[in-house]
Amino acid sequence: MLAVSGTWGVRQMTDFGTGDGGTLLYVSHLKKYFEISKSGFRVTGHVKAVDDVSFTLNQNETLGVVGETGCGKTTLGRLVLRLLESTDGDVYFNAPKEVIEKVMSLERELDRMGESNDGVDKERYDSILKELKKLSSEYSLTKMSHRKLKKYRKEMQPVFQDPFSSLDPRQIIRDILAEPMKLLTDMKPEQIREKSLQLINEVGLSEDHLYRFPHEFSGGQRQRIGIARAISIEPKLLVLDEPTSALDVSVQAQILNLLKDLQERKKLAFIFISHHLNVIRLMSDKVAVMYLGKIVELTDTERLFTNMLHPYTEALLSAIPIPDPKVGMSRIILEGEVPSPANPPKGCHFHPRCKYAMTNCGWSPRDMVLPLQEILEPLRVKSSDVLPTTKEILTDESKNTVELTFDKALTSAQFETFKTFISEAAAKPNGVRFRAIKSITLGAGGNSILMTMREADVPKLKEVKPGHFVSCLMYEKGAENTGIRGANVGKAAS
Amino acid sequence: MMQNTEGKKSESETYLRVEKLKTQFFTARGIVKALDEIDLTIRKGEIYGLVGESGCGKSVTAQSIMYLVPDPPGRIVSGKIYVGNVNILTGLEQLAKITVKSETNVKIKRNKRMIKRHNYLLSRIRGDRISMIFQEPTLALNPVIRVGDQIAENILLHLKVDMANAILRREMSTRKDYESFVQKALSIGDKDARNKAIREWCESYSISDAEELVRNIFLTYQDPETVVKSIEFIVNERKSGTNINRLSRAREYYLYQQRLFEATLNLMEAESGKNQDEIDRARTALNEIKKEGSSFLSFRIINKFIGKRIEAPLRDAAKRRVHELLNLVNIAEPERTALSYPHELSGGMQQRVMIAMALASNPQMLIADEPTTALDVTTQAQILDLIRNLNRQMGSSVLFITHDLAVIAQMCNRVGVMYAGNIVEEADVNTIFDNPKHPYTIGLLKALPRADRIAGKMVKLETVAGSVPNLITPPTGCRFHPRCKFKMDICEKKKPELDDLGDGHKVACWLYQEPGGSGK
Amino acid sequence: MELRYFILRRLLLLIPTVLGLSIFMFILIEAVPKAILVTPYINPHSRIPYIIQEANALKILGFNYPPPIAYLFYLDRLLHGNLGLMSMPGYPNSVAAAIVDAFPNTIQLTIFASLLSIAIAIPLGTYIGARPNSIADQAGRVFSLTGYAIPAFWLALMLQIVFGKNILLGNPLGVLPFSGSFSASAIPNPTPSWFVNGITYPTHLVIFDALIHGDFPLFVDALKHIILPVLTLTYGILAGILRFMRAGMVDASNQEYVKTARSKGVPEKLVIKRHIRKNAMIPTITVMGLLVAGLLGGVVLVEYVFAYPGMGYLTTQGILSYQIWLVIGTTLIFGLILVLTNLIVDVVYALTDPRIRY
Repeated sequence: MLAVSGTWGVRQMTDFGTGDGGTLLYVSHLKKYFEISKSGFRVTGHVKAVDDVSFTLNQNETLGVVGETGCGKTTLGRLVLRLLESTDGDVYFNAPKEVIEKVMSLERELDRMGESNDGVDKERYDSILKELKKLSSEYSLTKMSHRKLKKYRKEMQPVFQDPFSSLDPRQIIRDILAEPMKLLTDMKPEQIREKSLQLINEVGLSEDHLYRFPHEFSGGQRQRIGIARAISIEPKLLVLDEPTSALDVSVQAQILNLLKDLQERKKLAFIFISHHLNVIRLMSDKVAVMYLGKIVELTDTERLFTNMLHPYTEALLSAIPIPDPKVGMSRIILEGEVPSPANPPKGCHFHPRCKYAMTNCGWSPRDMVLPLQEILEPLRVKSSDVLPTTKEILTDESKNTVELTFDKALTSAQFETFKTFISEAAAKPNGVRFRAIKSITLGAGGNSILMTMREADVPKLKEVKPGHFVSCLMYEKGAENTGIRGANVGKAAS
Repeated sequence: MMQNTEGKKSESETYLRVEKLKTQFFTARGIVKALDEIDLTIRKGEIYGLVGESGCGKSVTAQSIMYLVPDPPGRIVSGKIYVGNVNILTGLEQLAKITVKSETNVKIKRNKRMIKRHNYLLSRIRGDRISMIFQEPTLALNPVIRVGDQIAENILLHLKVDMANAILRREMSTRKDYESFVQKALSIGDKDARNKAIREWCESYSISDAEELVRNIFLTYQDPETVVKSIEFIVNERKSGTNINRLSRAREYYLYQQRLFEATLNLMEAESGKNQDEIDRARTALNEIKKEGSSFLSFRIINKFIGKRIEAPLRDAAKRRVHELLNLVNIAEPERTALSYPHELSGGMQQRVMIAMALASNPQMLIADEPTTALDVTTQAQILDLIRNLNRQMGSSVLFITHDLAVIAQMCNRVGVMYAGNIVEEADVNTIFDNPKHPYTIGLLKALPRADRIAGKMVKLETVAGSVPNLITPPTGCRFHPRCKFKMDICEKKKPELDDLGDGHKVACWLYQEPGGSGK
Repeated sequence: MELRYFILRRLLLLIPTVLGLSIFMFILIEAVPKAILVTPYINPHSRIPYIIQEANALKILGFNYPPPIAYLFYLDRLLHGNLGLMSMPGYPNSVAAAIVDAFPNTIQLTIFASLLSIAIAIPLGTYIGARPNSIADQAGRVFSLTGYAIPAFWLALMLQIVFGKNILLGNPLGVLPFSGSFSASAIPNPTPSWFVNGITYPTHLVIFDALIHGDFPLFVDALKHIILPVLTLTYGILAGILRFMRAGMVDASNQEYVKTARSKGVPEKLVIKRHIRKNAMIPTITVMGLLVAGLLGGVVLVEYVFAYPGMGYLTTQGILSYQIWLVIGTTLIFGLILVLTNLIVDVVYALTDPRIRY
């Protein structure tokens, strides 16, 4: 179960040595599945909001999490703070250095065991699992009791997107600021008052603002108050969920500058969640790009923006409008929409929209229905002699087959014609999905054609270049498309 | 004077012209001076960007142009808005009398009869000549009506005459047409070519579902007489739902409605001109047309009861057009999408539907109010691309409103920057980004985090201090002066006019004009 | 289809609800002195001693067992449609039979009242909701607030005094019958076979049975009798629906899609009819269902005042003469109706609003 990805390992601590205190946060194989039920009687499926996400974060470092609506970035933030219970996985926050190193090395060993083809030493495997379980129940936030958690709660704080709804409208600012200090520390009222004053000054407001209600403030000022509240108990980590999305450009700049100032002064670590790539570039040291619950690329900011490797990142970056009319945009317009997370595409979730897609990227029967119709439609119009009329296109996801039924039996010549149509379509540059057809056979009775799709490979987040993690089959050994983007990368990795 | 010739040239190309538009909101806390006499011209075929922060009045501008400012509390106080050659604010003073006693005590006396007539004028112009795309497609689509019906509504409101014409032309075709076609078809020896001809012909008569049948007739019979008879039978069966007489009567009625509208419009324009002769002439003309109306009495009564049946062929045509439109906005399965409810579609799809709806009756002018703000980056890219392509294809003008300067840079030909109810700078897009003049524009551009530039821990953005002022008590003089780095004495005292610096680069700032010279 | 599952789920939920209701009823029964419970089971003219009769009755009813077992006896009787016995002059012996006689009249009043109020409130609400703060709106507000404020029984009395034909009062407007469901004088002579003991067949509703058998004078007479009770009931729900319709209209007209409709050039009349009213109907439908269910409370009082022989009248008569099984029985039926109405409202709501996810 655990043998999934090469984790964002120990080495990165030295790679991104901007922090001075080592690893602050280690998130390991974190998952959150929401149950869905169509009938209301039983669970019919899962929305994998966060699916096997791992990363580390150092002190005084910023991880930008970027992705489109529904990619799971907000859920990830809430899981890390344990505002939501996770389905599986661990969050090690502020754990002793040795513990994290130990966990990482154990997980690496598990990975190796999972990948090696030789027989697995069952005993060793079980003992590793047991040890990991022990460590995680002791140190992982996701498994901790609520009493123990309280100690960690005050070292990490959220800042929410909407400055209008995240402040209690019936409390004055002084009370809003004092609340976390009252609950999570044993400061005396006198100290709290002093601290509040200091905080309000720190975020650029003045003392008289303490005695007003939230509705008397503008959006930017409210966000300042939200930040002041978050830093009131001297946390080490702030999870900022779209902190400036609701703000105007000029105010956004003020808030971003304030955050940078605070980070510098207080040595804070940030998880900065945003769909604004330009803000991400300004704020982050490293960036995780998420798509349908998975991290597809993870590396330091400059490398991501100048030398991205995942096709989704490429499309995402090219979609950002640049505020300069002379920069002609070489946009990659992604076709279609983000698929429903309740029923994501097989294999690599991104493959139906990917322009580099290969045959093993996860083409499944449901990807074939519309393109097949497109091929058959002009045939039908041309003449009914070429092929009989198509009755329906049946798909079977579990068997990985597409079945075409016709109203009449096909002659062998017609079957050959059909095959040539498919191979013609496969020869076209965008005909990858047709290349992914493993076999075409004539069904029993001769009035149906059965196509079997190639098995999908699932990409894993792998380190393809030092410090550059990508989850894409193009960078696997022996991939078809390495010639297009990944040739030099592949070499560098091996 | 140079300015004059320049003005004339743009005049001929202008589609939308806004003059001294002043919109205010009369609230319990005081009068919000949302728009402070703004001027705006949009040329045919251009994309004009209006950019500014929230509360600067860009959405109010859009709503004012559509006369959609929520009333109460808002009202357009004065100004002119020319859409093509029609001023949609004709007779504005007569709609309501506003008596301002104090900031919080304002009496508005509405004239119901005039408002009714004005609504009539608006209903003929909105959607037909000018339409709008809203910011939140989720909220802007009616949740309980299928999207296809929502689009068709627009078509049925404005394209009735065109559609009736087309249908009648098709239905009135005679036996001669069939004969000549059958002769032609039989003369084609090649089977494929003949099939193709049949197909095209069937499509032009909208009997595509009978195509197979017609083809079989050709296969079965060889003598022209029988074939013609059979086809006639099919075609007649097809159109049995259409009562040609009724439809042509309906068309006459629609045309009469059009004439009535034009006459009403003339009268409204004459009335605002205060020339008694003209008013009388317009009134007689209107009365003449109204007299015609009596001849439609029986039709109107019939229409009231079986209007749906009369319009059935129009509805069919509208349905086909809905599918066409959905195709145009790159929706893969138009038939299925037309039947779905808004909540069943994703945000991007909803916005496409909105665009299809706005384009339904081929308007000359499209107002897009933050059309991509609620969408993801990749979807935003798709929608922007779509709007740009449609603008190129159809040649309609676009007023593009956004707070995102980057989108402006990628979309627009000309840009107006708004601040607190004023346009403070206006120029073509390159000038705005290369050589901004107004301190606010400069500040905005510098405050923008940019994904195309290297940033790092140490990089800080430049900011514009302070925030947008409260427009109940806006700052005196230049409304930007409390936040301005270059504030001078005059800025507090006198409002700078939007002054042309040459090449159409207009700035409203005392840094670039002499205090004495602005009175012109 | 998911709607099917939704209805199925709601129907399954009905079972525990109804069981709960029966348990509650049983607790009430347990609280009543046993002597009162067995009264209708005892024949005072019998020669068998009272004590033995009582013991037999208790045994039949299962009260000689501990309460949980006794409840099972009760449930068994319920499932067989046996709601207990009663002894009231002019009424059948069995509670179930009495309810069967009275039930149609109540339903008739309720349906007439709700149809009338819907027919008035929806167009009126649309009209005033489209013109907030106009004079019509102010008048509508006063009208509906009055409807809320005036208790049904008081309104019933007033209507009776003003419009009821009463020799003692000698009121000039008194053109409508004072009480009852038909006048004795309107009964055809000789009494037809479908008219037995003041109950008509087959529907038990005088209005409809008169129509079915072609007795027009009786039909008019019965119709006159129903006017005042229906008007009284109508006013209460009318006020509620009107208020909600108005609020729905005002709320919907401030929505963004109304702007869209206007921006398409939809004439104002159609904007109201097609875009605003359709959305305003959704919350109104919910309220309508609840109000109609709430009508059952009003019905008891109104029927009592007008001596209209429905469930309410029956219940009050039962209360006054200590008919415990009758009271329990009618309460149970009222509860069932309420639950069913709620179910119907939910289904209708799901059908009208395409956004509802079941």
